[in-house]
Amino acid sequence: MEKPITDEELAQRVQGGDKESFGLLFDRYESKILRYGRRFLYSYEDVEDAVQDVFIKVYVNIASFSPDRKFSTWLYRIAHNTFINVIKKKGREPVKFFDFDTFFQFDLAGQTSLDREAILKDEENMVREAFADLSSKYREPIVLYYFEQKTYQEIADIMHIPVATVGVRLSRAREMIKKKFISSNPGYDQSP
Amino acid sequence: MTKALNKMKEFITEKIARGEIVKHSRIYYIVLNCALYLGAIAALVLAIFFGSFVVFIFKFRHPWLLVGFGWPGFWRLLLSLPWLIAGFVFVLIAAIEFVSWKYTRFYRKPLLYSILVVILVVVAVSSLVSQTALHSTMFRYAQRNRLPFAGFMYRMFNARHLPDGYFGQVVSEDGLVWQIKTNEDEDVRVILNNDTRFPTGKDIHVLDNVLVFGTRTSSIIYARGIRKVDKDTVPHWSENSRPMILP
Repeated sequence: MEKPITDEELAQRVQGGDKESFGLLFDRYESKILRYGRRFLYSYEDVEDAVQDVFIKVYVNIASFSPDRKFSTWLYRIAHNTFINVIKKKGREPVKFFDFDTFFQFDLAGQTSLDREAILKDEENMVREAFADLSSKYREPIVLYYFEQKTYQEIADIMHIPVATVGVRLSRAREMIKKKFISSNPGYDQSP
Repeated sequence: MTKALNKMKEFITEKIARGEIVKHSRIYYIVLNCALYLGAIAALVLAIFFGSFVVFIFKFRHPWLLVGFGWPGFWRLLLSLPWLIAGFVFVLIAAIEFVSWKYTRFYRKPLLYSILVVILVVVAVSSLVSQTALHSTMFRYAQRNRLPFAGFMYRMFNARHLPDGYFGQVVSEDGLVWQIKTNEDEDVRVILNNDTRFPTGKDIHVLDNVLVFGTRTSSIIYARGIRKVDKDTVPHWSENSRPMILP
């Protein structure tokens, strides 16, 4: 049985001029990036335009991709930058140039797939309800961790922040979501 | 949704086929990265140059001596420091940080670590460079107006006295009126009063080197404080010698 071609191999082919390989990469990632975009740009219109920009930038900048890196992280980084530009352009929420939570060392919060699965199952409604109130700084790690199944390391590489800061933002985001949900659902049973 | 995505794929692939969307070449990124590296190196070299200038000025003028004269002295110390230049050094450090943040090795760790490393490198190398003859040579060229670009900077900090602080040697002392010869070869009268402070004690005699802190009007200084200093501390130079620098 033939080994499937990896994303990195496809990217190398696109670098060599193979346009069909770009179509294959598009097919593999179109719905993922659209899902990421819809969740991150929660209340913004023109998500499709932003996603289109992402893929155009991927093609234009393909020569900067190094095959010893992970293609999906590189692609998500381009998507992150594009979506942040959309938020800045609309001006509905502030996007800081510098955040103090990237400045200091924090203890890394533990992460297990069990934790992620359990939380997603029980709290998906909670997350959906509280999403609109989260700033982009907290919304994005939630989207990448819970919905795009990215690791802390990958999220750090996508957002260009320290790994420990990813843990801190996820932890704070969860607290905010929980508070918001409980305040709007007083009868919610918090017992484990 | 599939229809919309197919439409998007067609739109992009057609534009690529028509040549409306073109890849950047590898050379483009090589040139870009080289420009970034060179920019960061240039910023580092400039930060070290200006940082060493700040250290040199600090060693040359000994502004910390003013602290002994209380809050007015401390305030003059603050005024005597090259704040603009120090601020420019921090801007250069921030620029180096901004470039380094593009690379995995730097952004994966807290910002504090990389900033500390850059500051330590700049401070350490600046201290070493300030010990060389670089700035004293540049001072001499600036005095002779032979330094076109940075000459104004050296001339601005050329003063051998501090704000309201005057180095000199005691020529005579007569109660509350002393006579000193400043390190700029001026004969100046120093008027003391009962509130004049002596941070190093009142044991000051003729031929002792002193720093007088006070307001000067023409050739009279109304002394708020006087302290003894070592001969080596007094900043001076002639055309042929180097400025006195603390070891």
